[in-house]
Amino acid sequence: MDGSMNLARKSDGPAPLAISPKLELGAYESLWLEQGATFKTLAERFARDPSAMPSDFVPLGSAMSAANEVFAKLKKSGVHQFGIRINHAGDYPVKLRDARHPVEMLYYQGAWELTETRSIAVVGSRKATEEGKQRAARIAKGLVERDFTVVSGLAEGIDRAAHAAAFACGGRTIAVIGTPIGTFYPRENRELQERIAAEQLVISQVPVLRYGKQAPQQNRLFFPERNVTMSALTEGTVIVEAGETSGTLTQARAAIHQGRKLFILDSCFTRGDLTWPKRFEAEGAVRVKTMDDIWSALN
Amino acid sequence: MTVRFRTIDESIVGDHYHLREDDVCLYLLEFTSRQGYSFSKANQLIANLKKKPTASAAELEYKRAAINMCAQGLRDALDPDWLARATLVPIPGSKAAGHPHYDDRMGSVARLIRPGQDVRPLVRQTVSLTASHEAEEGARASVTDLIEAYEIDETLAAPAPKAIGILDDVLTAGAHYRAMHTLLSRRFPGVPITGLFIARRVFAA
Repeated sequence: MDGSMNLARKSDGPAPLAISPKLELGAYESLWLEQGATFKTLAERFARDPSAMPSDFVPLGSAMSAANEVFAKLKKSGVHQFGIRINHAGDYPVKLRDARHPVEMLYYQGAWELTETRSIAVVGSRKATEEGKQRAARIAKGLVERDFTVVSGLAEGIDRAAHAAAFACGGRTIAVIGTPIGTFYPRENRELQERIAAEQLVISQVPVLRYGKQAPQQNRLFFPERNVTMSALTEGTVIVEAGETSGTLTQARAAIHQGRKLFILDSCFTRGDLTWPKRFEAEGAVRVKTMDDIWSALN
Repeated sequence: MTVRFRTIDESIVGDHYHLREDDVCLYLLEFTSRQGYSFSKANQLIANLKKKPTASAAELEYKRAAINMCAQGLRDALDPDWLARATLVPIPGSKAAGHPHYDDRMGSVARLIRPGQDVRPLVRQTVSLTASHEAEEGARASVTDLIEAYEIDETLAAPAPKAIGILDDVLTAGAHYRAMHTLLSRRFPGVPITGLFIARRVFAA
């Protein structure tokens, strides 16, 4: 069953299980091209065979040609420097395994070291109110003042406000995006994404080839899915504002499931039209009136 | 640090411009070449490992811990059957034996990997150089300089090794590895050589 063990017997080199980043990148992208592949189906596959690598499931030639295609595509979109993180290799954060369907591989641009800092996610609606954006900025500033890294999803609205505020006060910020690296959504975020990639850290779990081959409608699913990873990367998530059906609530559910802190701003509770704040409060979320409510909940 | 090695494959070999495409090099960790990330685990490990032998007793305790961690990481990632027939050759530190900063840290790591491991400093440095991580870019020793500064220690050459692992802490441009490889493959033609590194440096942008 375990392909990697077979490999171990055949090889007589110093480390039969050594991981070729290019091969695994290509193999992982190939797995994503299979009909019906989702984070769930892939995670289930690796859960059944926990020591397996993507290349155990994909012919060498397909993996290498997929990898070449990815490199060409990224280069064309202006990505000249990027890295990957792979389960079982060094520098892959064990905390990502707390996700229900953990990712085996992800892409990044910038300094991966930022994932080793204390961090909190600040997220919320794309169609945010002015007050909401100001609140997001205040939270981000407060986090930076305590040397926390501000993590968000680089969407318009709350996310953008959080990243921008972290920059404005000289702090660290990580963007966990819902598109492949080198792809910008919305387009207006291009400059900010490029700046975060160059000076801070952009992370994407979105498979490059699959994204390029399927309809925008299907690609939209990558947005809520990246919220799960964002939660797993951080100590907690602050929800600034979100509607009843907002994708942000995916991150709220993930935080609770992963045992991360979930913070909900008081202003969400005082809006009479929302039922989710109370629901998550009953599940352990912290209602935040001042920054002190965040600090006292953190270890 | 129970992690698998990664190989310097064709997609990243360009980060280490002295390496050749057919060099077989393995590494455990990556760290970003930029000021300001000294907090990172890989950076801390390497900084502790590189502490000078003249440092305070407290600092040398960190060095010892780092040596242990590196040995453990290598032990977990290397195939025991390969280790049993391999000769580990530590890259000589920048200072020659006898210099107050002479540091056999990679020799210490290698000897801790496995009791009775064949560890031989087959390549020795005849003159002291400025450490790469302390040298200005451009002032670093070239592969040619290093080949001139290195010599095979013939007193250790027998029996001839069957497989060689060149051991170093950080892979930067790859000049030291390439120089070592040149000397060792000349002296022991046909013996497979692998580079084993704790970490490689990467660029953020």
